[in-house]
Amino acid sequence: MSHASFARSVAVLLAAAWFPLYAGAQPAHPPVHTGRAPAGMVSIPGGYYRPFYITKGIDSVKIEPFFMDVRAVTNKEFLNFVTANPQWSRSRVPASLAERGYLRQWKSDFVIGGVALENAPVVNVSWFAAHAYAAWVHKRLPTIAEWEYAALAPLRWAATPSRRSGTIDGEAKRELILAWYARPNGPLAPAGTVNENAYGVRDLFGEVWEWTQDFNSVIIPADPRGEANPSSTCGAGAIGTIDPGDYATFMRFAMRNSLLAAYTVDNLGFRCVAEDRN
Amino acid sequence: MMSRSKPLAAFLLPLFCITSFIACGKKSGELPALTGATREAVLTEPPMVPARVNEDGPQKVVVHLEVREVVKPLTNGATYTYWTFGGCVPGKFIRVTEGDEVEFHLSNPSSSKMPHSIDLHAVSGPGGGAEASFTAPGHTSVFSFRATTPGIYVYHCAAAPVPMHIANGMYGLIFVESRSNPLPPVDHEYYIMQSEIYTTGHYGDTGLQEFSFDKGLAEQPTYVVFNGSVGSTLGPTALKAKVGETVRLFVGDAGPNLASNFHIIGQIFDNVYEEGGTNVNHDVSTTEIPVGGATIVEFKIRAPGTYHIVDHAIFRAFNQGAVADIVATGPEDSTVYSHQQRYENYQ
Repeated sequence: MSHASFARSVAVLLAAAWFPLYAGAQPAHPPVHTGRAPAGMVSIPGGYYRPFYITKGIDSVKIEPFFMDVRAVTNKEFLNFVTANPQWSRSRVPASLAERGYLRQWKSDFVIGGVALENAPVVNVSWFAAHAYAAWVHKRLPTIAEWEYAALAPLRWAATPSRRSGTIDGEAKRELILAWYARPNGPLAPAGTVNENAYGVRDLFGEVWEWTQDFNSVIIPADPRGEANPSSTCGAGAIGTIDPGDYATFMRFAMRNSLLAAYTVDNLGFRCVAEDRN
Repeated sequence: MMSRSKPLAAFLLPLFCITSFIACGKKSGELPALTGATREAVLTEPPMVPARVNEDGPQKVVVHLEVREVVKPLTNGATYTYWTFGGCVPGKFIRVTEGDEVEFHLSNPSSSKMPHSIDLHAVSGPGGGAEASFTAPGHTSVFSFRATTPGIYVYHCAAAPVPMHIANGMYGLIFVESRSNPLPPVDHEYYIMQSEIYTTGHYGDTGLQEFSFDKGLAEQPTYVVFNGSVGSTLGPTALKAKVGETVRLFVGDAGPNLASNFHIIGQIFDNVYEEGGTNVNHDVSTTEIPVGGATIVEFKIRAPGTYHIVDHAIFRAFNQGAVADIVATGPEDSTVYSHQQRYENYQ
């Protein structure tokens, strides 16, 4: 074993110990599509998504192929945007576009204040700010349908010294996600290091909530025990979903439902998507 | 002029009174005018209950309650991520008087992961406040309601998925005391709630325990507890009383699944305010409390010693944690209870 390969093995082991759900080494399985995606993005093949909340007459939504950011947007990347667009700096952003807590984890308008923070997902950004950032990088925010569709993929379980690599799906995946949602906020891991899925998308679970383009489009009541949707065929809220046992998905919809576009929240960030025009 | 207007006034005044009386009876008979005074509600952590407030009349009562997601002990060596109203399980006790206008401020700190809300069973209105109080992390909701109906009521979070929010500890009691017929004075008032905890691990497993959806759906709890954890009210934290004193317990059942067969070993309840309503039963040993319901029990301590509060579905007490204690001190009275007098061979 050469020095280089030994060092690499050690690095992999350390990474595996540090991020037990993603070893940071070779993916357990190659992504479905890789060739055409722009840097930092992966291809999500088209297909059909069955909306979580049942709407009369809509059994599934067609998803066109798209590219999705591998990881959540970082503070460092967002600083580039703010530097180029100083109207989006903390002291200049109008209250109508971002609440008082906007980027409050930063030291000042143009100073993040810490390397670890630079590489962590940006949070405390309003939907307006996330939307503006996406436009600036010639991308857009994912729709709920796109986000949830990409999130349906099984998670990859990277190899560790004691077990082979594999995937986590079904109940096990659900439990893993639920366990994260059930824990209080902790310090954020560097973006791109958590829970890679079969498409090669990381951080969808286990890092931060993420804005979606149409976060406020689903007409669900703030009181989930009521009617899920005025146009739904079923009465009670939970009955109006495709799977009342999917608590993790309930939580994401509840979170989206609690937001307004100017809100800034400590554990709410975003990622971008782009059209796959090929 | 004066003499001519008098008969008219004499005619109009009774008419005015009658119409206003009818209007009162129709529209606001249950809602007497507020005195104009405002007070901040004193909230207490279990097992304590706020003292009764002597008001001149219905007031505006401001309640500030903060949601907190905290990791706390579940049993020896095990912890659980509790979602709480005020940092404790059950949530802080709220006490108001019939007719008060409650201005409720529900705050969800930015450190929270989840949106939360509150449905108070004391509210007359759709959702019990749930929709009005649905709050994202880092925000506060304010809504008001009139405490129209006396009683002891459960409150709980109603954000999706509701069963998990309740299972994780988001419940408490609000007492709306009758203005015309307040409860008689007692020596001690305490606050207890029974609930179940569903974990992926077994009873007694150590470390941070995680919520089990499967066990919750199957209604097979890992733990059944009083006041949120195994042993919350045992030993140094047991309830205290002296011989000859009267005790009132405000007892709620948060579920999420199991009704309580509420019993105190070695006690007979002098009064049970059944389901928190106006029906008062006497000389009861075990009373059932439905999930989402609450009751008030009163009794007198007649002999010193330790009294175990249990759910008399007894596996829950013996194997799942549903025990709390009252430690009573004072002189023995052998005419009330003798202890063992003889122990003999029997063949």
